Amino acid sequence: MDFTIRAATLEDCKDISRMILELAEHEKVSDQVKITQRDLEQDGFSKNPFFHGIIAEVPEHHKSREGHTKVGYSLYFYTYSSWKGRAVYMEDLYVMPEFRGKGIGKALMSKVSQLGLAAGCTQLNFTVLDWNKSSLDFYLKQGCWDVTSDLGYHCMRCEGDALEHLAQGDL
Amino acid sequence: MAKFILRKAEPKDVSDILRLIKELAKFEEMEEQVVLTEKELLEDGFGDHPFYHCVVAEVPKDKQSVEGYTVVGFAMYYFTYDPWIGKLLYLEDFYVMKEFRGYGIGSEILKTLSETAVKTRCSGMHFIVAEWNTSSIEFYKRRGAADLSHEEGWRLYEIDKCNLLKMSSK
Repeated sequence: MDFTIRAATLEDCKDISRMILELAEHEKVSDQVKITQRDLEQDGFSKNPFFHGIIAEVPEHHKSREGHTKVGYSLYFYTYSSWKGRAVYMEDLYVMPEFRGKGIGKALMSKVSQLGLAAGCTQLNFTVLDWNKSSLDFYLKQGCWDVTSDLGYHCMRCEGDALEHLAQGDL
Repeated sequence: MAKFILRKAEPKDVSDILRLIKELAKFEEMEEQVVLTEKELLEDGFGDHPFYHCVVAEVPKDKQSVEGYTVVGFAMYYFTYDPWIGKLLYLEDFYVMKEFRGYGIGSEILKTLSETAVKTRCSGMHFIVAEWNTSSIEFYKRRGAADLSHEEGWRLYEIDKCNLLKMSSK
């Protein structure tokens, strides 16, 4: 099937927002999505963007059942490893279920890798849920390894009240 | 000894930053993994589009370390994005030299970073900790940190340069 991979633009935020919700539904946590289309426009397409996007698009005659031609996306940003320097973090990777198995996911990830390498990055990082077997299998096939399992690193988060208290120096 | 200041890192600090990065890596038994150079730290942290930000803790000259250092702690961080909740502050490295612990330097660094996170409207602060590092885990849990790997099943994955090259040429 024909598809193109390209950098996301402001006009794509509507479809990105739609697909973010679809991905959250797949992970069974769609009530946690607080970001709106407008937030994406401000945070991704202003002078100092907090993220970058890639879109997978199909021609009109291959559009989805509901009439969408933007059928996959990836959100990524640049990070920094104090051991190795510049790195790229892939925050989201998603292809609509009816368009899977056609190499779109691989192509999106390949594009993120190309952009990362061009920017001088030496690693691509991301997180996966431990129950997501099909994604785990896909990533292992691309040559990645599980840092949590192999090195024992756990992802931690401080948010909401905890963050406010920390800022005030409360213990 | 309670006197210390926290300040934004400057280009002249890259030598101390690299020294402290290596000390922390040594503690994590990963010293040989540090390939970053002072030149890269300078380019990547103090150019037009910095890849990271850094705060350093400094003591007065009369309180310098046994080897003569006055920069005794640091935190390296950058901003990330969660498409569900927006901006986040990611804490990449956080370290205070052993002989300067117990004086509140670590707590003060974390407080400064949290203030930065709140001021820039971040929804949270993320970081990783090695599961064997129980004293650090306790330090963070006392401050309300949640273990996402444990509670939500998130696992951190990496693709190295060699495999990135393979993937980008497919």
